[in-house]
Amino acid sequence: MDQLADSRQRGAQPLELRGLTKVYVEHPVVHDLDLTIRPGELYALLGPNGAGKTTTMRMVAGLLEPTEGAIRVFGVDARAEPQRAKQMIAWLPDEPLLYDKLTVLEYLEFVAALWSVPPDLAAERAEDLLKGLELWDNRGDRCETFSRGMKQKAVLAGALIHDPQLTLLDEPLTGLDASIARHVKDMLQERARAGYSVILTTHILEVAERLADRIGIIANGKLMAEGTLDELRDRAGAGQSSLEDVFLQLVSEPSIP
Amino acid sequence: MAQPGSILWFLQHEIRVTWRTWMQRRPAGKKRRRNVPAPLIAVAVILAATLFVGVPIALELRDVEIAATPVLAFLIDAGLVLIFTLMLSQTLVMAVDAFYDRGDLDLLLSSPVPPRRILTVRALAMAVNPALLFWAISAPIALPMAIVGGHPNVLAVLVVIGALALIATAVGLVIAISLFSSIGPRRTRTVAQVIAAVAGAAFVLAAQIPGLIIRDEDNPPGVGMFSWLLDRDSLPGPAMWPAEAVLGAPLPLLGVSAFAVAVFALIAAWVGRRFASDAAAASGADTARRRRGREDARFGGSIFRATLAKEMRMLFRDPGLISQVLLRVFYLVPLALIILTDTGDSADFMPALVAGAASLLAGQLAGSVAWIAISAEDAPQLLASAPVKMRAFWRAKLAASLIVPIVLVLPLMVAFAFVDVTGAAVGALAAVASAWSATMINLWLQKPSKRSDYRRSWASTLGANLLELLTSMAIAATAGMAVAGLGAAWIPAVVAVSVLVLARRSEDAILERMSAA
Repeated sequence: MDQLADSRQRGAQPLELRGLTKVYVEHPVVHDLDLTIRPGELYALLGPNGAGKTTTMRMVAGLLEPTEGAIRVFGVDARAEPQRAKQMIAWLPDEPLLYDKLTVLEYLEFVAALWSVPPDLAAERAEDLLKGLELWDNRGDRCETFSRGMKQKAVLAGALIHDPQLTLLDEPLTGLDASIARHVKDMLQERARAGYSVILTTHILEVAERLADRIGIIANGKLMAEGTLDELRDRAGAGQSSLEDVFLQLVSEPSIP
Repeated sequence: MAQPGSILWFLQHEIRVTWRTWMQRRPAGKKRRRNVPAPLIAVAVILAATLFVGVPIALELRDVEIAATPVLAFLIDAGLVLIFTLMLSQTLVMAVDAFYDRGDLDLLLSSPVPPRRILTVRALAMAVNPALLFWAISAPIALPMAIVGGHPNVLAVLVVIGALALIATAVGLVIAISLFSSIGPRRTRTVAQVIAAVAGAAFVLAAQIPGLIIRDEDNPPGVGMFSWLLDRDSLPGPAMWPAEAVLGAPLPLLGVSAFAVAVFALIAAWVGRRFASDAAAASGADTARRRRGREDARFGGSIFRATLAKEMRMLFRDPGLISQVLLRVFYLVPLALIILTDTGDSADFMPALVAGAASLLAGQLAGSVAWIAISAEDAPQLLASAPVKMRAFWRAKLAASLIVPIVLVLPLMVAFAFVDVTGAAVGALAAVASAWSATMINLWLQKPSKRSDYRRSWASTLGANLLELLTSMAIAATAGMAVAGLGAAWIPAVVAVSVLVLARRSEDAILERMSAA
């Protein structure tokens, strides 16, 4: 939390993307993307399949090298100082990749060591997270015995064990049952209220509509529009329409400057 | 156009999928657009072998009459047994995989198509796989022999190879089903892999037995047997048939082919009846059992310790993988036996051989564990997103790769020190050097993959594996020659160092290779 307070004092934003571009074999997947995530904000990135959402998230998480552009995490240049930036980030991929032969507790031990979480704190957080995600009774089970939903919960626990200041979640609710999905949504909102920033991609528009403070709509690698739900409605001239109508209208437009 | 759902239709589907998979296969580590598909490379190699090896042999044998003498029949029989054991090794694993690998199996089994039909097509695909390999090996000789050598009857070898592949597939299916029934689907995969590996090496091992037990000072092993064959006009009937079939005699060829087709059809029909239920049992086998571990947390390890502990836990909790690693070493046994039997009773060479063997063993073990720890990382995204330089992970993974061979080989060297101190000391040093070099080559030339692909890792990273084997052999030769007091020991040492210098890659190059994959 010291680093967070420090960065707030410096007025640095949790995430700033400027001119972010990723080109795969002459095909731009993300094109000149500018995006700012504010402190304590829950930001939803929406877009059709292949719009560039996951590529953007992977570049922020340090998994992909951008072709061009700048990524700043709490003022830290993530391309120049990746380790410092990663210390403040958690990345939750859409596909839960775990170590099948480890128990969920051993998995959390490993992740906590990667982010250098003090032992007592890590143990306390692991217990809280596993209890909250209803995995505590399975803490001694190997991950290979888990269902997809349980694996998703284990990966989520791993993402949160170092108490990240910026959490990147790619389709976080996939495979979760209704009660756990509700719990995860509450958890994310609590984190945002506590001043942490969360950015998530989702195909479920209802999730974005209910959870997000701001919504960004991305299509063909470009940010087509962003704002609160009301701002997006105004922009699309859609009155009191649902987010689904606004989304479909915006992604069908050729481009919005 | 085949009727949808028919065997022919399924076969077309399998061929299309397999063809596209093959055409997408590229040699590892190069940019995709520049690479030539692997099948085209294979065709080029076969054509070159035909032109430069097959044609000269065919021209040489143009006027030679090829008759099924007892010696030739014995050699052909032995060759066919070797091919069959190698084919069986392949088809057994494929037969078990047919039940486990889900792929499109769930889709197919949920369709109204009879499971027997699906199994028949899968079994045919299983047979084609090893047959293709041996067709590719024999065609460069058989085709020129038929076309320019004046021996069209030798084309029958291609038919016999097809027949052998059908029989090997049928036997593979029977063993797989027997294992399912006797030890259950959970253990079948591991046991089948062990049987397959033993079958693959069985013939070469068995061929060494006469040399090990018959000690004839005057004649090398085997000479006695050939003189016995030379004294005879013919072998007993059944022993001649396969050879006669290979040489194109119509009746034996027809007999062998009909036998193979009948065995295959009968087994496919029998296995097909229970295919759906066995495949369903296999699908739950990996997840059905709850594996409990400790429930107390031990947080607070360093990155090195945490990564090392993770690697060791994951390795030792995977008996299937351990068995495959040890079996890869097992394949060295025939080689060692050949060397031992060729050197006869000369006790002078024993310390040199032990030192060399220890080095080779350590190198092969380290290479296997390094591939598992480095190339087959299960959660590369997690490591890449952590605020840690990859170098830190690599250090722990390298340590994990060195621990296994050192723990296995060093006690042997300590025991050997009671027999020969110099041999043991050089053997231990060479083992460490060999393990280190194999591990580093894996790190430098890694190609990210999955643990489940371990069996195919030799082919997928062929270049790295060949370099790894070359270095291990060079270090083994250095150790052996040094212990034997040969002055030329520096020559293989220079080879090993040269290979390491050539294989070495910078950290940036390794990272680029990882992200490209």
